[in-house]
Amino acid sequence: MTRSVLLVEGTTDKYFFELLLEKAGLTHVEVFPPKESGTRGRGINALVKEGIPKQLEEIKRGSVMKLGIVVDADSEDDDAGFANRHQAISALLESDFTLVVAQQEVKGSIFQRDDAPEIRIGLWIMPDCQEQGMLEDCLLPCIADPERTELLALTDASIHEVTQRKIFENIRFNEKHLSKVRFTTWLTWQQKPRSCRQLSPACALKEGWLNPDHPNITAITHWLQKVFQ
Amino acid sequence: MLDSLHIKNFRCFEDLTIPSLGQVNLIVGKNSVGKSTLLEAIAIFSSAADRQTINFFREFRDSYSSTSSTDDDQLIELLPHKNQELMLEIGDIRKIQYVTIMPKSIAIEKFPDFPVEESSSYSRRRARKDNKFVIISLKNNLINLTSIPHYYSGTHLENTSELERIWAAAFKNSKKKLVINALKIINKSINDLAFIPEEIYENDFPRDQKLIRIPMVKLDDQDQAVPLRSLGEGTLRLLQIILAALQAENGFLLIDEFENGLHYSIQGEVWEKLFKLAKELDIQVFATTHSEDTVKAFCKVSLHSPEEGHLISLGRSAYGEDKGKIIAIVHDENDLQYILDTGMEVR
Repeated sequence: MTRSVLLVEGTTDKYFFELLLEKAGLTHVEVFPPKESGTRGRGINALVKEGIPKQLEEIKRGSVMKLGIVVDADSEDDDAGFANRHQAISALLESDFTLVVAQQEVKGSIFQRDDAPEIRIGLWIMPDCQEQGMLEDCLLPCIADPERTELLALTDASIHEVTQRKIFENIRFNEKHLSKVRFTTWLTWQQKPRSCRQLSPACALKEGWLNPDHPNITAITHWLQKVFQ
Repeated sequence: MLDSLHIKNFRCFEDLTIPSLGQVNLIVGKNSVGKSTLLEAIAIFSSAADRQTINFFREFRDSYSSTSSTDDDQLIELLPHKNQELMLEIGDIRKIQYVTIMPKSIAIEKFPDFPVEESSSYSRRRARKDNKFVIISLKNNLINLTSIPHYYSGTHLENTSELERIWAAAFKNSKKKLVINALKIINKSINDLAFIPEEIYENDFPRDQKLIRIPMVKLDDQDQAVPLRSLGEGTLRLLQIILAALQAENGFLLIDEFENGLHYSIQGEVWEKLFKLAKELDIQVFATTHSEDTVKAFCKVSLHSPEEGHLISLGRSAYGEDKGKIIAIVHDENDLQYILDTGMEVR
């Protein structure tokens, strides 16, 4: 049996995507984060240096047939941004595979080749394959019910106040991480449900705090289906 | 020791190159990518294309029909597609030593002392008068008749008489202590091993009484010897692997489906033992596996001595000019760490 693999940048993404795949009926897909994720820039570096080349070898020897890659177009590194990320990863794929022109109905890139059309490699760059950002930028607009939206407004106000105070300037978060700070702060203000091991994007989606039918999420689901179905 | 492997036109391998080999090599891959065939190729290489070895593996196969087929037919059987050009080659990539099929006429022309007559002293390798083709081993472009020891440990447990035979050999070579020490992996209190007759009655008739000798062990805290098997199925498989290693001294140890009968919890220790034995006895080990537990245990042990352990995965090329052909990927130290860290499967 050939395998389907989704590579992500870290364990938070892993749990979130496992849930999305489950909801889309794609439970056969194995999700792998690189071991060294979490540290600055390590996730993407480990993917480019190890994760993707390894899976390409597995594709070549007929073990893996569908591969998905999800990375952030965050602004931590100088070389970040959608275009740079897309270029860096395309460079790994393009010796053997061709970018199939993005189709209207599906966001995200798909790479294939003529002599083995059953092989598909998908690339999704967070948040929406256009803007700079990360998973949290994609999820913040999906926060569903009015109370939880109001909670976000309150956390936003606190965060804003922190950014205004001069005394915190050298100890507070970098504004490049604002959406991550907003989302995680909002998350920690929720009551932790028993069914969730920890408050996480996956938990928020599972509990219905995020609207699964929001275009930000359905666009990713459509891409997953295009790659793995 | 082989530092690399090139197999051309041998059974399912059209043109397989493994650029580097270690002292201990674990071969993984789906069914039908030729894991066992790779072991067969190495056995034929190490025996310098000995007919007995070729026939040993023929008998495992469905293609084995009868002994009446001609020598030429038997050689053609070794090729990927029958009647293809006779270009079989098994050896290292630099072609220092390899086994090849060639027309007898060319062999006689190239090597004036090539044995042809029935009376030849090379009794097992002679070519009969009616042969068109011969399989020969070449070393530095000269005919090589020196075989290297190899021992093939198959997917099933050897019968006890074969175990006893190789145990007797170990005993004669004063390797008894080494075997007992290896068995301590399973039970630390094992201190002796012997093959002892056990009465077996078939059909409950005394005249059908048969004696077979089974391996029994003495334990530190017990007076009576107990059957080795009673300590778990894994003990017999472990004994088989260790005795096989002794048989392969200064040569090749070939283990098909390493994991058979070995509980995953002891596989790490068995690999450690094998790495050590390989060094001590100057053996090159080739093992195959289907088991992800075996791969993980191998990776862990191999990371302590990366130049010695090689994980090699076989597969069929999914695209490109070599599409459909069997190809090999050799995983380096970083790969092994990555496999352990991420849990990536490489079966």
